[in-house]
Amino acid sequence: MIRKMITTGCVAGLLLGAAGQAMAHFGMVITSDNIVTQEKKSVELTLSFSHPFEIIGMDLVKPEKFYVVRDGRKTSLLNSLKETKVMGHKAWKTAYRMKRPGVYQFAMEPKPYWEPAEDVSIIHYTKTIISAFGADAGWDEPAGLPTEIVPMLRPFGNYAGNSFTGRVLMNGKPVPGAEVEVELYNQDGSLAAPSDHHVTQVIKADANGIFTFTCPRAGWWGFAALNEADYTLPDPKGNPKGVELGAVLWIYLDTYQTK
Amino acid sequence: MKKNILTIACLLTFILCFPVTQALAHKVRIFAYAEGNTIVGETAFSGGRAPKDSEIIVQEASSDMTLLTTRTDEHGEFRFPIPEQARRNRLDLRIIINVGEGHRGEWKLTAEEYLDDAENSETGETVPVDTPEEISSAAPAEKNTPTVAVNEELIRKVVEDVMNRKLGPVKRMLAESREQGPTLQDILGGIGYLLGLAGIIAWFQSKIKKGE
Repeated sequence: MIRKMITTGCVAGLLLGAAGQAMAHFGMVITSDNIVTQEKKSVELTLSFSHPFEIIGMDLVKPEKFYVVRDGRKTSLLNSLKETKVMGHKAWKTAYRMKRPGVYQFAMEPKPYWEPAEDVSIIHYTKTIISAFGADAGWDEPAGLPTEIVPMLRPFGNYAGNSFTGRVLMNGKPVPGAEVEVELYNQDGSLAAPSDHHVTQVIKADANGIFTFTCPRAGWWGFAALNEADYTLPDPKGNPKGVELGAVLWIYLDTYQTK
Repeated sequence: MKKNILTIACLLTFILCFPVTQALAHKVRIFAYAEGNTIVGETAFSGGRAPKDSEIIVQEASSDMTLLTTRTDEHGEFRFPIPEQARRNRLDLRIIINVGEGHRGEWKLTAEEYLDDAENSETGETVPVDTPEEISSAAPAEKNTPTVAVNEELIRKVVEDVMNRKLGPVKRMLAESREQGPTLQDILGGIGYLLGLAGIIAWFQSKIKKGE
């Protein structure tokens, strides 16, 4: 009897431990291209909430906001979103046609996601940056999200092996020592990680909120700077609980082409 | 012999220098669209600086026949009325900016684009596409289509792999879950232990009672 109780307690604890080992969540805004040319003037955008390396999805309820910023002007695209599936879970997609040259920042502000395993609500403010028709000015401007990573490496036209440098902002101010999780979008599922540590890599920003990370491989790389909000949100039972704010940026790295 | 060397030297100079000038950092870009009956264009060097008073050449795209030339203003912008000949014959246009020293950019503006725009007389501002499905079928994405890239089998396999790893040796899990201070699972695990201890106490108490 005692034995059973102890065993049950232990097993329950261990199972919860395993579940709590949850891999990093990433808000995702992934586009069909990050450089728009004369030949193909539009992009498809897919919004999801996932574990991008392990390809495990979660349902993303329709975001609070989704918009594009160009030259400091915001245009809402929320009404153009259509439901779709990513990794077998609810996600959203749309298409956007560029009519003018410019640097277009697409940003998603999701509704809070209650994560029982971590006992917090999660809000990942997620963006990606696209260049259209040769324009290359404005990529270093914040999109105006409550928290975001502003790139210091131009976020398009990069190669695998380039180092990405970015600055973490919260309410427009740099976050000293911000912790940034990094994951590669294992899009075709062909990659495996030697250990859990390799799935989500972690880097800390310096005193000015600046970090640099070298991306060893072509593909979509997600950077998520995670900080605790200075406010609480009610959990499903109505108790005030902490909020994890994520500033997520997705960049695409290419490989060299041969002539 | 001397002649040969000269020829080779010339060739080398040409081969070496020409691509170099082509690859200079200050690339110039050009973009044009129709605004009513006018074609409006903008040009910029990389970084955003404007090429001022630079020559713009408008050609018929297939024959390279020059239809007109114009110049950029101080903002690197230019505008010209749609040439009557181009409109009548629905000519595709190649609009070129040439600022010399290999700084050359061109933009192709098809008749369909400028006539459509002229007819709809749009403002040239950005608008979301209303029919995403059409676009996706017309031009399949190369880099990613996340929705189809993953099949159920794969997900199952990944989940199984992860679960296998998670439910692996007890020692490893304990080590992993001890990386940070007490988390929810630690606390619940602790409650389990407490329940176990409570069980022991209850058992001893019942024994003691029986002993009485």
